[in-house]
Amino acid sequence: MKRNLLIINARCLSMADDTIYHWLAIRDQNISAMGQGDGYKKYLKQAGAVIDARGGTVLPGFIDSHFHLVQAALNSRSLDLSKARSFRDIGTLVSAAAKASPKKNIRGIGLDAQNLKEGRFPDRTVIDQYCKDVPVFINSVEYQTSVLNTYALLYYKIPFTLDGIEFDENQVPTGIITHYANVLLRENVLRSIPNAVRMEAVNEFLESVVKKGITTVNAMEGGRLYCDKDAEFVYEATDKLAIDVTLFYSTMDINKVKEMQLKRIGGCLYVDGTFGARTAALSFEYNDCTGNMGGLNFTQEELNQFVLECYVKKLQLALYTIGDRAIEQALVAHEYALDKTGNTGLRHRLEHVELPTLDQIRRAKKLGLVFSMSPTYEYIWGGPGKLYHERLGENYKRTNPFDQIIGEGVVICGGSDCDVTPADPLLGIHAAVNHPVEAHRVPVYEALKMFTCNGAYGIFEEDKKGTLEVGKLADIVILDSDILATAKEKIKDIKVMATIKSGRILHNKIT
Amino acid sequence: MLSINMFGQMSISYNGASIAAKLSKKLMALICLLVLNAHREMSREKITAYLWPDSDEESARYNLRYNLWVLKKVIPLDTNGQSFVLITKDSCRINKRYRFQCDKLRIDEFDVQGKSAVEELIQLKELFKGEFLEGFYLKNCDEFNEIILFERVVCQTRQIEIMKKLINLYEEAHRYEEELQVLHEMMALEPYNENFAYRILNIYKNTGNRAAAINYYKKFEGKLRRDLNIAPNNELKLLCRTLAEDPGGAREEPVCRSKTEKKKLTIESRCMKDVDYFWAADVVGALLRKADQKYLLELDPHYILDLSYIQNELLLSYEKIVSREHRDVGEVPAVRIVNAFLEFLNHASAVYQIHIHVLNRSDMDTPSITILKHLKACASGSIAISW
Repeated sequence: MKRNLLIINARCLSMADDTIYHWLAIRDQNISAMGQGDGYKKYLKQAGAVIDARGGTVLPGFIDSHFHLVQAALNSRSLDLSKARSFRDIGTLVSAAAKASPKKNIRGIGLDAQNLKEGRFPDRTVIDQYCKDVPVFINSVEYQTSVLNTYALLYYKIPFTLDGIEFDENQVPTGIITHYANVLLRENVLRSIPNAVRMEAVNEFLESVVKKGITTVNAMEGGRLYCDKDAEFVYEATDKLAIDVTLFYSTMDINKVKEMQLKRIGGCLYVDGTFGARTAALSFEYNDCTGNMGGLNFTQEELNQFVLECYVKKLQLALYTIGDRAIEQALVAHEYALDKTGNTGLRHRLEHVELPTLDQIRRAKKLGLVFSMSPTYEYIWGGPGKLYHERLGENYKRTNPFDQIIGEGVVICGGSDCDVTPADPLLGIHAAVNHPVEAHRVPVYEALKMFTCNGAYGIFEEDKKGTLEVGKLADIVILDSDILATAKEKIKDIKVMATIKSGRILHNKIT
Repeated sequence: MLSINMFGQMSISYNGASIAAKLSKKLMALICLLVLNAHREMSREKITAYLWPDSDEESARYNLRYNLWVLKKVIPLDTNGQSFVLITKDSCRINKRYRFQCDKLRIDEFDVQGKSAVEELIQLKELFKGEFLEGFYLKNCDEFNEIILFERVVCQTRQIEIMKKLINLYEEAHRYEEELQVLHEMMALEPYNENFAYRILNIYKNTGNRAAAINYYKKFEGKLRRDLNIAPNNELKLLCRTLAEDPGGAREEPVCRSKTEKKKLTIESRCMKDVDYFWAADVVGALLRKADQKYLLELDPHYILDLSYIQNELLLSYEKIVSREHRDVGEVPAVRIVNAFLEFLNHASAVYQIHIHVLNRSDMDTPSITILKHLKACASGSIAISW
């Protein structure tokens, strides 16, 4: 049940201007009043509940602009193998999972062969040593490889005639599946998950999401290595979920998206790959792989035609681009489409857009593109001695130049790419403020904008959310301290004390 | 008569009545082993190793004895009084004289290389009612489970082979609708197979169903893009473009028997003695006018820009169709022009059988003479030159 709420003793950052308010009143699902000093007192009688923010910052509910909701939710129920360092570790974890939930299929995720002392994926005979009673289906960290025990090989429908089935010397499948066969197998397995299970998993997962202050996510669903059924599920379930979920359907089927009356398309339409897999398209060779500059997944003509069609059909388009060559291809396609149609104002987005040049940033600004970026990448992989340095050499200093992008006037909305990085906007804000390359760091206020008002702008919802203003939705997060006064190295340690979505308290640690 | 079906969930019936309920899982597995070794004896030792690997020798032998006894009891003699299984002290096997039918044996006995009739292939295709021994798994019987795995691979491969034979026969007999139906079934098994997709498009095209062909292509392209993030191969693209650009011509093309059959393209080229690269430039211009421009412009832009140094028409087409971004070509060294020209021809010859007829060859410019010499020495079978 919704009650009128009053938040007092607060430092409310409206994100609309520099004003700091001390209290905020909520009626039904909207903000009804804001002010300073003791002006709140006249609302005390009507307030069903009063929340004392104890001097903590109060912000618009966080908007996570790049989020894989269904897969993250399903993965949260899966066996996490990311910390396994040997076949033995995998076996121990699988055995424990089998013991904890007997007769239940085991789905493992996050397995990275590079982390294993054996330096390769285990085959079915290895997994069989630890579990023969139920199907075990393990996904590699980037979903490119699946590892199955013998039971799973017999349980699931495996397309043995497709490329990607590995055989032993006796022509028996080893249980390691890649390429086309892996894509089809994943599709078969993910499609076989009932929507009721999806709903249960998503609801459970959203409980942890609201604890991080998130009230809106942009759900990037469907497409390669994911499952279209996820997108269809989100489309149907949006109204039944605790927070707002804006669907980005990663498909190129424009007619289907129009039939569904969606206003946007894409999200994970991969123009290139990742730095980790050395598939992001660069204008230079990978530092640790001579002769490799990554690759583009489209020809310029193919992308031009697709982007043009999105302009013509007036769909907001989100293209996944990482390397500068991919960004270039996307920009050329947008320039081509804009030139042909003259259609502006659709706020097309580039997702991740990690390695833009200054010229590209300026062209993006001219085109009115929004950059949807994931600052936490820098926290995990950026800086000297880490993955980006290893892959890009000294070019690691060019990744995610937030300050330069903002300086050129391009809007950045922030996302976690959950569950590639944790669903934690405060960590994202911390990462943007503490970028390992000093020149790319942004002030706290700019980082906050990425996850609030800019997030709303990125989905055309700035009229109802993203700032704290009278009449707007009461999507609110209360922090345990004043974020503007916190040492910037400590931002990630700030705790979310309460999350309110449309006037409803979803999370409250304030006693 | 006894009937054993091993595709889909294993079922055994006698004169139409199921007897599966009387058989334990191990006994079903025993029958399966005997069928897979139908033409040879199996030692008791081998069978017990497959089915009771964890039991001691005496228990395992007892289990086998008991199961063989049940088997003899449950499966009646045939009309000639023959028993299903022949048992000796050390081994057992299926009695060759016993009359029974088994889907797996029929598939195994089929000679893929030999001649076959449509009816026979249809019957064989219908036998694949599901996976080999669907849902079957014996805990701790690793070797037996491996046999199932191995056989699943064999059977899936065999299923595709049989279907391929069938579509070839249908095509020879111009039974396109039936061919199309089987091709769709094959696509369900191998959804990314571009050869199958090409045949489907070709059938639509040759039966005048242009709209269906274009729709099918779009759907297939979408699937490749969505699942694999790749575009269809050039042959498919070209076929689709032919359909899109030539609405009236769909019926005129003869049935393409093989995906490697290329479209023939004859061009005439002129020479001008005092102008460097004139002949090469004329060949490029002629190809641009007669071949699929969009396809030609898929060549790496670096080659296109280099080649546009001698043929401006190429740059104009590129800017019209691919990118309007201004490119300053500048002066291009001879070696790069030659290289780009050869790449351009190679790219075109990947989908066309090109015949270049040279007019007034005696007037050919010097760089073009060198290129022509190189072409004659190294050109693939897809490029013929005459004068």
